Amino acid sequence: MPTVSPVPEDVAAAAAAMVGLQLAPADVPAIARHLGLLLRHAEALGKSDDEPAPVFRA
Amino acid sequence: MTGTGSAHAIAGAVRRGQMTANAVAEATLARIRAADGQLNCFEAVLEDRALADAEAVDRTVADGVDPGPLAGVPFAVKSLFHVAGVPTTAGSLIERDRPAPRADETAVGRIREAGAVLVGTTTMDEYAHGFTTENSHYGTTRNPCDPRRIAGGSSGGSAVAVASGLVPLALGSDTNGSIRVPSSLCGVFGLKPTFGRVSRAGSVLFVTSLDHVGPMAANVADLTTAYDVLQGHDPADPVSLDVTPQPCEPMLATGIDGLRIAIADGHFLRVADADGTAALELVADALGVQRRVTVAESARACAAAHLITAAEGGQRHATALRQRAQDFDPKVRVGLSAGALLPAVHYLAAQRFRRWYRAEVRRVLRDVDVLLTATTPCAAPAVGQATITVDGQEELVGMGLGLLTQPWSLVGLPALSVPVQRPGQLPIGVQLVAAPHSEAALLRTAWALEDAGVLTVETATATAP
Repeated sequence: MPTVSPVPEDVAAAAAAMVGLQLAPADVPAIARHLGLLLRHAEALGKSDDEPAPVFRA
Repeated sequence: MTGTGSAHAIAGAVRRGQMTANAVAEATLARIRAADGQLNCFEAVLEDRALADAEAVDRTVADGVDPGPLAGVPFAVKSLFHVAGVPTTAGSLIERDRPAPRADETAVGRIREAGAVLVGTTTMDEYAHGFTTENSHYGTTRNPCDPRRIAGGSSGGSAVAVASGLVPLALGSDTNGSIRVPSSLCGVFGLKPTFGRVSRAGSVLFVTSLDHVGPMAANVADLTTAYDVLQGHDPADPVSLDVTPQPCEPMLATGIDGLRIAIADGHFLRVADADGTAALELVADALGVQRRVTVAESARACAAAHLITAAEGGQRHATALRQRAQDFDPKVRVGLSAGALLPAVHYLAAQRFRRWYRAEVRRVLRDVDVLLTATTPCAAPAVGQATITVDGQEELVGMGLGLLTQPWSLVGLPALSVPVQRPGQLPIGVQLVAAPHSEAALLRTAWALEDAGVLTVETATATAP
């Protein structure tokens, strides 16, 4: 499996509660791991501070 | 191709009165009945509707009226397109419970108005979330080239229906590669048009800013006719582009005259394995292409596409995740839930990068008309396989298979997967990419390759695994 650091399970559960999701206990490890994969993508993306911001036009 | 032949052959015979659409539909339905038990590429076979539509085409011919360029051509659509009177499942249980739509999706309607006959809806990953068409509700769709292998996804059923010769034409949708990946793994042609060029109105969207609709076919002429029928503005789709349709079929025979073609190197060569690289070299040699160009930061483009997909997909399904979580396919529930938890800072960083990458790609395409890459990092993985090795790293199949298609989806470019058949081996696709609204350049290049005998579709019927 890909090397990935899962998000701590209590953090994933707390984040889920913030958006109104009630995670089944059996799902929490897999979701924490998948969120870890997404954060790896965020790390690979790196900083975008110098890149153009999304534009809204009236 | 097996069965009744190409879309052009069928339409020609039906328009000339040499064959009835009813006979074509009957033969198609018989083929589906015989083969789909092993392939599992159809979710719903619409026998009564198909026969009624075919009879209407035959009446039109009898009245001396031309039914259109796809007269009597049987076609299938991914089960996320609205079809009047048929529940739009999107591969899910949740959508199946909603009332059936009263009207066809715009794209389905345009193909039917051109005389084609809809014979069924095809299997997919639930909500288009995946690249394998292994669906816990509707089963695993088998690759007709080797039923122990996946079809790819998420438009896996449509690819298999074409690759196995059940229908000459099918519609799919493509968020990160969901037309091109199964086209590559099953050995057919699949076109993802420019973002906004083909209407999505009346389909169950997955990622609003990345979703595209496009055709899959067994030869370039059929693919081109379908695209020409599909393209055009639709006020019902808020991202539809109000541009004049540019018919591509009259341009096919010009081939690659005047086109500047180059191989995309860097990320795109690193990600492809030996099979993908060999297919790419075969196509490049046939086109006489040696030039290489670099599209900078394309690995970051994949990362950005993953993040945007996760965030938009998670948000889109958040209500259902709150109300009916247990009715999702378990792996889709995990993926969408994780996406719903992604901090907004990462989503917005991905959107910032997206604008930068769009400018970078357009800079490269000022000097190049068609870019070449492999379509998938490898040929079809085994059913149930969890990971593939990409550039020395293990990646989940559901993430790794899109690493060559995602960058182009991120910036909405037209991209076409063409099939390279290798004797005794699984097929694999080569991807052609062009600037926005340059579908004709892609189709002309594919036509030249097909005309030179480099590309063929060898339809296969699976045997029991």
